[in-house]
Amino acid sequence: MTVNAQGPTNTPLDTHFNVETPEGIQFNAAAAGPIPRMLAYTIDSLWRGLVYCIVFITTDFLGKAGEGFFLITLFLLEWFYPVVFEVFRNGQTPGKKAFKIKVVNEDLTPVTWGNSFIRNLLRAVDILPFFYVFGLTSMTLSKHFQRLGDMAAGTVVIYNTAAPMRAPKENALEPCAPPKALTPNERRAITEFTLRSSDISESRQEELATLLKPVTDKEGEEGAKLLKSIGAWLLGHK
Amino acid sequence: MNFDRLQVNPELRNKWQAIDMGIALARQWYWPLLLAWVIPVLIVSIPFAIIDSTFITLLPLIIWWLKPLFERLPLLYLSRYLFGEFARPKMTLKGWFRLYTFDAFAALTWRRLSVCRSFTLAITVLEKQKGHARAERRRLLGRSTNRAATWLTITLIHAEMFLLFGCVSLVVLFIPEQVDINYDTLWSIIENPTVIEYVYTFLYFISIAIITPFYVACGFYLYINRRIELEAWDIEIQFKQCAESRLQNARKQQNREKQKRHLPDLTKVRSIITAIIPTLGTMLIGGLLLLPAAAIAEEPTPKYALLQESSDSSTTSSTTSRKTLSTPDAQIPPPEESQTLWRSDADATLDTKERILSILESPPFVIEKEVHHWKPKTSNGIVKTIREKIISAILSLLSLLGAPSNRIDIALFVEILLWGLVIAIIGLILWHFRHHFEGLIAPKSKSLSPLESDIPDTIMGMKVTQESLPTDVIGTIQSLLSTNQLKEALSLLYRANLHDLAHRHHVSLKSWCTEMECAQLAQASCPAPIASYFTALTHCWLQLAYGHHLPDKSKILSLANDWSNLQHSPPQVLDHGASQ
Repeated sequence: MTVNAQGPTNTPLDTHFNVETPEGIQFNAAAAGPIPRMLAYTIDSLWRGLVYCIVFITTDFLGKAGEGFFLITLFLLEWFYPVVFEVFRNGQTPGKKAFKIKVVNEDLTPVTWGNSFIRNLLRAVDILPFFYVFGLTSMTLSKHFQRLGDMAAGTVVIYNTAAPMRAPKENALEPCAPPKALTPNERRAITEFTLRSSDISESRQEELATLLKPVTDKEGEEGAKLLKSIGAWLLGHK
Repeated sequence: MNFDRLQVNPELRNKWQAIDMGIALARQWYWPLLLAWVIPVLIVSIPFAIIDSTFITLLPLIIWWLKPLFERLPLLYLSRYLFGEFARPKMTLKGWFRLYTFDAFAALTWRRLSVCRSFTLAITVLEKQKGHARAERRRLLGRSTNRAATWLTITLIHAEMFLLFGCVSLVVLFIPEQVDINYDTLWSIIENPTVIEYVYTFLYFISIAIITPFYVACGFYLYINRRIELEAWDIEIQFKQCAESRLQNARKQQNREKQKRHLPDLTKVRSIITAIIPTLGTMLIGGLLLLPAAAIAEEPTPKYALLQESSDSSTTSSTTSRKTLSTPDAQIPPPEESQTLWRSDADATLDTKERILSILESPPFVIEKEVHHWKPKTSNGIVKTIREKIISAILSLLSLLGAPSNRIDIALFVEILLWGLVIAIIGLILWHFRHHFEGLIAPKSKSLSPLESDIPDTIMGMKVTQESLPTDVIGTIQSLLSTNQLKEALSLLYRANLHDLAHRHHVSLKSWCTEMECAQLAQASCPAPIASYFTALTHCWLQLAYGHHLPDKSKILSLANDWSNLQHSPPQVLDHGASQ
């Protein structure tokens, strides 16, 4: 546990972490914490419960054989439901899919049979002593929110952030080429401003635009308008 | 707001990521947050516990009810930590009182069961809003966050419960099976209401204490995330950085210009120095040593170089001056020239970046094209037509299946297809394991009658083909013996025997067999007399081949005779002869 009782942190707190490939490419991912994962687990439990109900009702008339069949279903689903989904469905059980999270290896490669098997087999430990208390504790304390099974298998649950293509509204302002050549950081900031401007109040937009006076040479309302026009231009409305 | 000491990466996150950030925050400053909750709770509850033990029953309820108030201090601490203020807040008694009583009535009555409690707490505690203003603010902030805040509360209520039961079951798990619990005494303890109340209160207190910092931090970060969204904190930070770097660039440019303005003076001074010192030096040294001036001036004296560098720190100018240095007799470049050198250098660093950026914006680096439709990657369209064909085939098959008159035919067809498939699979399996079945079908026939091609031409490096042997083996042996070529005679006999075994008696001899292996094979698959004869021959041969022990001429002759007898007599007679 990284308890720094009093005092500032060295690096800004973040749930994101970087993985660098041997080629020197950096991948960034956000680890998923205990609360969305608990809820995802609940959804998966509900699905399994539904299947148990259906199997139980349909095999009821078979007597002892039906009972056996039901128990086999119970065994298979409890142990292999997550494994099968994680391996064949891009690391996502239905519950995880609902929360847009997925299981990957610690180096962000897709999870394999062996790893998935280990992490799900060790649910037997995480579930102790009462309803995943060990797992929750481990998740809360470990840096990338890993439960004990994740640590053993070398897996981590991350957000599946395939960033959706966002575009400003069509009837936005007339696109306008930037008055000066912009650095990548400036472009990023201006596009972000343009895309989110509908959530930001007018006065705040003007305040922000004034900050960028050295770049645009305009401030206030005029500046905000110009920034949004530049943003539209940068986003491909020409 | 001052973001200089902000302790988090203030990017805009989705709701669940914001909750995760809350976990990270609570983890970072867990102990102060925990204490900020525990101390007020203890201050309230200890008097209850001491005064009257009957209050113990009520204590969990009281703690639960006052939760919204107890959560205020951890939130206050956390909000300060987030902005990098770690000093203990100096609050007057009135301030403390105000913290806990502000809008307390509403918080404890109609808002007590609000499921978004931790999220809306910040509006009350940090923004000090109440009544209508609070409702307005809450509506604005809560628009997209209410759902996540609700689930947060529901989840953590359950987590509290799990912890509570977890504590109990952990104890139970650690009781070994062998321990014989006296259930009578246990029950008498459990039936004692005060004991069980104490235990329950204690465990409840522990589990809430563990969870509360996380609950407060998660709700708080949901609130912060929403404010980041509405007020674009991250954009403000980015804009400030961009403006700062622009201003720095401008300042650098100004400095350069300033230097540029000073440059003529410096150059003048330098040119004077460069003019005087070498000439003085050359005059002095040249005069003293009577050496050509140019030869000395080729190497600048260290003292001189030092002077040069101290007069100007810039490398560009020092290299220019070095050039002038190396040829002191030549004309020193005028100050105007070095000035232009300066300017071009300064302009290059400033303008090139912008020029490069604008060039990269235009063709051929950026070619813009509007595309309105999806296209398969193989552009010739073959993929599309094949896919269409497959789809239409499936559709027609489906429509066939749908027609009632065709149903039986199709059922039959499918049945035949399936049976065909089964047969094919069985056939495939049989084919795959054919080597295993060969042994089962005819285990001995192969070894008894090996194909002609299986019989080796050479055994132990000796040719045993029909062609390599003389037609009249016995005659040849006799003639060899008569000329005393014993080795040749015996080897011929041995080879003829091997040939016989392989071809007549169908012994499966292999080219890699040793002499003794051949004898064993013969024993295994030949009639006894032949086998025993061959064994005797092998021994004789081994003694010759490896021991270089020449047998008697008579012995070889008798072996040869025995062999011809065996060859020419039918098996029964052979048996008889052998027994004799």
